[in-house]
Amino acid sequence: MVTPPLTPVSDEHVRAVVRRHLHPETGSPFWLERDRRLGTNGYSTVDSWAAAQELLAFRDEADQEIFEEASRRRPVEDFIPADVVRDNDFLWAAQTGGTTGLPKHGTWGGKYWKHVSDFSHYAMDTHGIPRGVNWLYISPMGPHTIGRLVVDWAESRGGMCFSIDLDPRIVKIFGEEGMAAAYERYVRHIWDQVNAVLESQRIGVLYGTARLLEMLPEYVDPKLLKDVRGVVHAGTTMPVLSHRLLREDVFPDVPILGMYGSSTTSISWQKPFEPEDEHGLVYIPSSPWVTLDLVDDAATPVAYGEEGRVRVWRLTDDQLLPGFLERDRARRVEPYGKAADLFPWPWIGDPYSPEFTEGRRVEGVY
Amino acid sequence: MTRENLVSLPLATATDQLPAVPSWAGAEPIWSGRPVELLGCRGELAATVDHASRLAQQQMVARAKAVDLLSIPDDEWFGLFRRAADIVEKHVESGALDSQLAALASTCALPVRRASRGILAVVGQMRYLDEIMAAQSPDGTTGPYRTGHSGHNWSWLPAGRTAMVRVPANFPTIAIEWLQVLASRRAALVSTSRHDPFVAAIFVEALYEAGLPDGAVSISHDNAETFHRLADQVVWPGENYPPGLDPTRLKLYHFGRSKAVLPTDPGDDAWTRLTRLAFQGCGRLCTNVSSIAVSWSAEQAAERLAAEFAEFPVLPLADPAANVPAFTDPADWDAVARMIEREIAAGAEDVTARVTGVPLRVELDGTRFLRPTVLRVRSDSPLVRMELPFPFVTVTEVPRAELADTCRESLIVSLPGDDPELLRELVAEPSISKVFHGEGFDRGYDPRDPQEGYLADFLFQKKPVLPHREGDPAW
Repeated sequence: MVTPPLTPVSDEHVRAVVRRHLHPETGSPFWLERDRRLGTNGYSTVDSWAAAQELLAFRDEADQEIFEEASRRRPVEDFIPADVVRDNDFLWAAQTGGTTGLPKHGTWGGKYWKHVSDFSHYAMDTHGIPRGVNWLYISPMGPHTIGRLVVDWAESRGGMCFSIDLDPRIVKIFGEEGMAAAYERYVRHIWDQVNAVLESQRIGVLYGTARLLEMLPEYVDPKLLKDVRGVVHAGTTMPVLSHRLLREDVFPDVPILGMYGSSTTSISWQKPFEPEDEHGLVYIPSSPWVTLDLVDDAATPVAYGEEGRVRVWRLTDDQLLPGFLERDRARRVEPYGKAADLFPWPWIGDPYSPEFTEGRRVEGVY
Repeated sequence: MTRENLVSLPLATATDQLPAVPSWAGAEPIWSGRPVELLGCRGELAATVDHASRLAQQQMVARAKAVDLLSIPDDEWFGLFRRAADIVEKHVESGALDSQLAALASTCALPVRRASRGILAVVGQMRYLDEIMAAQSPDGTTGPYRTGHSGHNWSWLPAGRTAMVRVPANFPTIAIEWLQVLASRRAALVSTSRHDPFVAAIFVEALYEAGLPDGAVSISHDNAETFHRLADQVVWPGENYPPGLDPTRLKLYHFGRSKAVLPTDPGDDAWTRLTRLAFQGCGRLCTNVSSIAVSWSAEQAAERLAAEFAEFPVLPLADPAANVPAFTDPADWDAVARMIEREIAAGAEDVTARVTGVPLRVELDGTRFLRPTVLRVRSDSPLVRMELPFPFVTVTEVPRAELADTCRESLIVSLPGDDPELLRELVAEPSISKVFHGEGFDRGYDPRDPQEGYLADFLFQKKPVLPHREGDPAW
């Protein structure tokens, strides 16, 4: 069996990352400023994962908001240690989706990229997503990290990546401003492009948002999907029933793999599919570079089985994110089944973004 | 149902009795893991409602296309609707639906007793659905729905295999629309509007319990974009339909603007009956009289009507005597009130205010109402050609020669008394769908009557399949 490229968060890993970001001479300007402002002296005091959680975590919403606004307005280099800027083989300039205001900026450095890539190939191989075939990507490209990631995956797995761009920001505007006709037209535009690619190219893996995959059988002739041997989805949550119908009716005997992630939360891959999942989607966070807690209103982790708000720790050379409270919510899942021993840290189940579901006003294509 | 147990229904729903309304994929109820919360008219959580994903809707369409409704004999078919009616009636009377009815009343801002009675009215209509359907068929029987035989040199064929019906939340009696589609042996895809997921779910559950074949009807609550795309035909209420719907497979139904014309004072009894006509279905029906044109004194006519309206005060929705609906959405409440207030500022007279002293906007127990209103307006007022979602009637004075013209684009025009000349003018006006006159001027809605034509005229097409040989199937 291939060893999974993930490990639990260790004190040693935390210590190394924190010291890099808070190094008095080469640390990240923003985090050094915060360290001085709060009087934490993290370089000396944070020597373990527990100490990081106690001393470094965002103290409250105001503390987090200072970071968020800075990530919208300041150069990304202010959040990266100087030696990482100098030494990394590349730094991908990532943007958040921008569906909650001006986009925030961050980076995915070359080393981190490789970690994510290793985990992604492991997950895809485990689930049976084929190698050596072309992909069709129907999701946001442009500034969105996932676009570049998928091109990378397709190419490194021996295929080419055809793509249809999506702009979730304009779709949000259509929804909020009641531009139903424009939304309908945009959706048709997407599917016209999809059909054109499917009619002319050999596509073996389909990547799309959960919402688009739910629409797919309405807009695409099943004959055009005959060569599809793998499906990967992300974006907003996929309902249990839709997941079952996709597996059983739309793509029988084709592996379907879910991914939860964003520029902030990184990538969590769906655990190996097992009957006891009951078609719920359960994801494994990519520890130790990213950990995902689920917390209640008092920022205390919720019990297994309970729903909470996603809190992110990013612990990589190029980015530090100390307990960032995401808008998303999910269920805390105790590891179970075949993968429990391989990934013995809390998993998350059926994540969703409340603003995409409340009142169902902004469903869009994402 | 007895008056006592109607009275006992509270408006607010206790949390532990919170109704959870499923979608229905054929005979299979679907509850998703994360249902939508539905708020009542006081902002309270009234129910949780499933939201069918597009894939779930596709499954519903697939089941609808697969079902065979033609092999069931007529007696059995219409007996099935009668059994379902019995089931619903029994559930209402036993109190089994109390929590759903309370939630329905709150989310639709309807008096509880009236909401229950609306459901029972549909129960009554289901018992003679065979008559309703026979009235619409080419030979006056229910046979052609099953056989396609018209009795003529052409077949009577379904214009598609599935039909989606969007159901507004005005009042429970609107359910008769999708029930007719289903009764015509067409698989029905019901799309409920946000505030009322309840009524359709109550009847669909009963129909399947009564033996309806799987897939004959499905329900998607609120959004149903996939139905819009995949249903062969779409029946949509009102005039504002979603973009992208092909007009050739679309029927708009039941926009009202119903009116009465009074060439002379019709007398005390007629004023009482006109008032009842305005209050039927809590003033939320397309058949409610919404405007009265007189060729004598609008001032006197409006006073007569306002005096009758004063007999129906605003009461809490849980009050068994309540007849006046409220508003669920504060923005809707404000928008409708502002429309009336602007008209008053422009010179219209709020006759009800003068007669009763009650303000237009009423808030009671945290619920927003507009009190029943008679407004005297000029004939060019935009409100003359509008219907508002509560008992509201404009009264306008026009020369006798213009009475018929004032009634253009109305679903129903009521003409009390005997005036053959005016009756001929009204009948000749093509934009008036129905004219009720004389003693029957307040006939209101009877599903056996054509209303904007018959629904079957849209659902079926006359298609010659020639040459027709003896013994050939119709289709």
